[in-house]
Amino acid sequence: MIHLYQLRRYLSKLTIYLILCLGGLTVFIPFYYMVITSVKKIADVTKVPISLALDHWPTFEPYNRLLSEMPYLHFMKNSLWISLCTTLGTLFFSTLAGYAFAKHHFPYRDKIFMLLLATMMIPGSVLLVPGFLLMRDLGFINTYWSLILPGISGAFSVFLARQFIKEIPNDIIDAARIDGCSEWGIYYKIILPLSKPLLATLGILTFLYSWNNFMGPLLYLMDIDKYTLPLGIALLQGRYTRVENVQMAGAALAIIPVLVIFFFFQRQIIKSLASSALKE
Amino acid sequence: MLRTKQISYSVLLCGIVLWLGMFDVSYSQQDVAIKFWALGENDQAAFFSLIAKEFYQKTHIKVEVQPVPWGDFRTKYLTAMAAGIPPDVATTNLSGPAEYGQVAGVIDFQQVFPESVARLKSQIFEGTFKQAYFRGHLFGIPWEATSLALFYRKDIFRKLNLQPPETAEEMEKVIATLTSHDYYYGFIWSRNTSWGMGTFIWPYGATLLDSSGEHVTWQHPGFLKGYKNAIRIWNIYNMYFEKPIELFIIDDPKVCAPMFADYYWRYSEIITRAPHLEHEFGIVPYPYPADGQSKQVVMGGTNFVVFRLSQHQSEAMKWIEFLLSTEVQLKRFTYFINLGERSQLMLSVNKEFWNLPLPLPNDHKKSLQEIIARSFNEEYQVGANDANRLLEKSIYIIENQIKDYIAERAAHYQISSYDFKKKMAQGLIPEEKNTILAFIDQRVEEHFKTITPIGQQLLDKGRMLYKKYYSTILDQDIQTFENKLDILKISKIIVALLIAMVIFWILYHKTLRKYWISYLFIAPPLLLISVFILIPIIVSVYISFTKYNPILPLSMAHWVGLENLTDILRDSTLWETLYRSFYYAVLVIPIQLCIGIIFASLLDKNLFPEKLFKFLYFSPMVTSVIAISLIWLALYAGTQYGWINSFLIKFGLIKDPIIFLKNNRIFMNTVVILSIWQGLAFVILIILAGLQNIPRHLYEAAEIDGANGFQQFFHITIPGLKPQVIFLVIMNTIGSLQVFEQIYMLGGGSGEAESRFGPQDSGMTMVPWIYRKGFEDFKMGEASAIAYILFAIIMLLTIIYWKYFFRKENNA
Repeated sequence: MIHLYQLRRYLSKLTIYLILCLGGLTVFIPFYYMVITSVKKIADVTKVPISLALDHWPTFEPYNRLLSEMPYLHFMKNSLWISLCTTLGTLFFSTLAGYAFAKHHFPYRDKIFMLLLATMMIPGSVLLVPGFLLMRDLGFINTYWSLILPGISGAFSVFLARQFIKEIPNDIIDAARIDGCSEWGIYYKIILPLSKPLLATLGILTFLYSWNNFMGPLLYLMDIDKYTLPLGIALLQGRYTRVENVQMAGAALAIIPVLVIFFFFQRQIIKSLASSALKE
Repeated sequence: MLRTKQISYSVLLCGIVLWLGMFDVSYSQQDVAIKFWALGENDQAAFFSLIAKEFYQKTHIKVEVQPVPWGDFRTKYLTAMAAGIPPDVATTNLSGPAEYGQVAGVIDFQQVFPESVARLKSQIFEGTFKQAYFRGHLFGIPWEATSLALFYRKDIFRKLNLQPPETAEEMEKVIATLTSHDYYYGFIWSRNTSWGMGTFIWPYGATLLDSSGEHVTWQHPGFLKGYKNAIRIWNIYNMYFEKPIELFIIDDPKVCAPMFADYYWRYSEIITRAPHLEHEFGIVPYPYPADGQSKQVVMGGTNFVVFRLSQHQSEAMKWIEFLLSTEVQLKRFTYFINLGERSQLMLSVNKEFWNLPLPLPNDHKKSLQEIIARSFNEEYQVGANDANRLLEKSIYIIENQIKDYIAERAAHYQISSYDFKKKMAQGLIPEEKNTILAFIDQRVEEHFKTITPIGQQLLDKGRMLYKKYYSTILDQDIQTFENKLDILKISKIIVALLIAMVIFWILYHKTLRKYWISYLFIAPPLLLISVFILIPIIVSVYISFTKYNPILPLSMAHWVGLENLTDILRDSTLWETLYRSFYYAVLVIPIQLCIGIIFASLLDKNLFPEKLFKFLYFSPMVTSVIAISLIWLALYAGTQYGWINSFLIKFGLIKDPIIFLKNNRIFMNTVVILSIWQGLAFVILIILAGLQNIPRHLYEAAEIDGANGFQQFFHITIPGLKPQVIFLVIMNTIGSLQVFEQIYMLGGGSGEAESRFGPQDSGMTMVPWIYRKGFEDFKMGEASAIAYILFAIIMLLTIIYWKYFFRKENNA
């Protein structure tokens, strides 16, 4: 009897493993294809029947070709710069506002906050046309301001910051106030150090959003040396030529660093992404 | 301790940012530098950069070359012109000059540089000039041309005792012979459009519109005849569409396509990929029918434009003349012919060039010269865009009907469509062939009877709009409009006043002043939101009531009231687009949820290696959709070496590779599969969080009651996940309505010039439609109106969700 029970348990465990592996494989194959193709010669890529493994010693020619023909690393640098600025700006302004909304009592506070929340309902696609005209009139087209400033102006990050800072006990703040600490001092010496998990979450969310943003750069950036990484990736899709290995080299350069970072900070990133579910 | 550490971190971070910022390249501005945007890929730009060096040595004018991909160029040129920062000179598609010229975006060459134009006109083939003109203004200079040519394998033709066809009738006989001998005929799929249709209808004296541009000619007997010919050739023989050259160079008789119609630039690709074929293939102009009247051939290519806002127009003109000179033309030819498989060589429009000794076999050169000399294009007709799109749609509708019919007949004989067509070509079933031909005739005639009035309406509408709002622009002084006040400027003033008032109010009131620091803390996000969200929202209400071309200043927007909205509500595209959005949502969301719940509950058991599993399952969430789409684009390749196809073939699910991305009937499904793959991670994440909230004791109690795993799953897990499921359904519905990147990339992305959102716009959902109207068709008013319809739908969904959410919270 015990035996049968154990057998059933082993069997069910085995099925679970099988299903999990099958699903994992489905997720894995595109990445695998990317890596393997990016180190193949084009003749090996277009071979019939396909070979799942490498036929020859890996070649880095696709990477060379990509980097020599396209300022790909420059695109990465641009993306990094924009994302960092957006992230830093968001962290600073939203914690500041979040602190005020959470801990200060001032007239119209809740009304203003509700108004702020209401703007979260406006979908980005409504802003495409007028947003472009606004950027044009502000002279922001073809500058990074057109990407950084709208990136900072999200109600969601203020909302998240407020929810977090609300949980910080009032006693600490009151004690500091009695000790003669200014509001800036409280923000800098108490709120910021205590909000590290919040900063991590907000930082990761903003950075990822900004790093992967496509529509904004597509409409606002004109000069190729200002292009961001997603635009660069889109450029790889040629009209006349289908050079898979170079394309995959480009995809790999964009994806692998992100995956490496994800691997090391997995728990924190997953937690942050889960908290984005709070949205609305 | 903690503080110093933090300070040092922040300083370090700021330092890195500043250091990165310093890397921005700034060019020295001593010489005159002109900006040149080259339509095409990197190789084009590389060639121009090479020539630019020479040009600099001769004239001390620097040329900064930037490639602009075919798929993006409309948007890029439009946004650059609208923002007032266009390059100096650029190459555009053939209709570009007229499109930009009609709203004064580019200069009239005839007016500004009459001598240069006179010189160039004697140098360049006359036919190539046609589309550069608009109402007597010359807005463009031809740069390169291309047209359909027929490539054939001499060795196989000898074996089958065939001659290269000279007329369309001969060509069809050759195709029939090929099909009956188990060979394919190749035809480049992307030319299967209204534009490619010109090849078939022009010989019969018909065009897509009549010469005045006022009427569609879709009932013209020549039009219908040419159209039927095209549909017949494309559908009753065994054709290979996607990339015919791949079958051309294969020797395996079962899959070879010994003849294919494509562009000239395949020329060097053939030699690069199959060097042994160098003397074994021939090239002839695409044959015209013996009973046709005109021998002109449809031309594609690019034109130069010089932008009105350019500061260096005469330098730009020098650059154009330099590029068109015979010596540079020869350099261009040698450059591209040696590029091999990536060659994008279009034909030179320079007459003298063709008298030079070229590194080409003589018969090839003769054919090519004939093609370019006969090249010609229809004049740009105002407002024909929508009518042309309707025409393109009809090709697919009719083709699909005929494909279905043939499949049905083939099933009747219990053979595949391929064998059915072969039998037909062999003349074994003449009665079937006759019925199919009659079927084609009937379908084409019926179809055009229904769509001709609709096309005429669309054309009338487009022409009316132009006449009403834009026809006088070329005679007006645009500068005066630029200085006028418009709603954007007004709303900026209003916002500035409001901010000033708020500040004043806070400082003035004693009670409020006490809280100034709080107001200061919340000011930046509020300010940014009012500038970047509230102003645009106000402005877009106004724009949705106007007709507005963004190349012109906003003060030239024309108030039309509710016309945009009523037009869109009446447009069948709205319903098609909404249908597609919901089709997408209805497929993606439930499938994602089911798979997500299964995997999440399995992952929840935390089996070793838990971390690796989670890493794998969550990884699509952090990577960019664009990069992921690029990978899937390669996986979806419709050839034997596409991985998905080769897996399907290996497991015996299909016999012939499926052409995923060029088939309007399955394109949306490919987007759905990609989206499920990409979005699953988020679903699993949310469900996992939900699972952890379900109290363990419920399971324990169930176990005591004797419930098995499945019963527990259905009676505890599923009901416990209700809030997460509802959240996901609403969020993903809103997300589905706004999907863009996947469709953009899979549908052609920056690669394809026409039909950007899937074949025949079969992937066009709401956001792509806004993008198309606003940033490709220059119709900001309609785009805003569509955006508001989308807004309304999303708002409704959000309210439903909030209602549910708050009701639940109140109950709890």
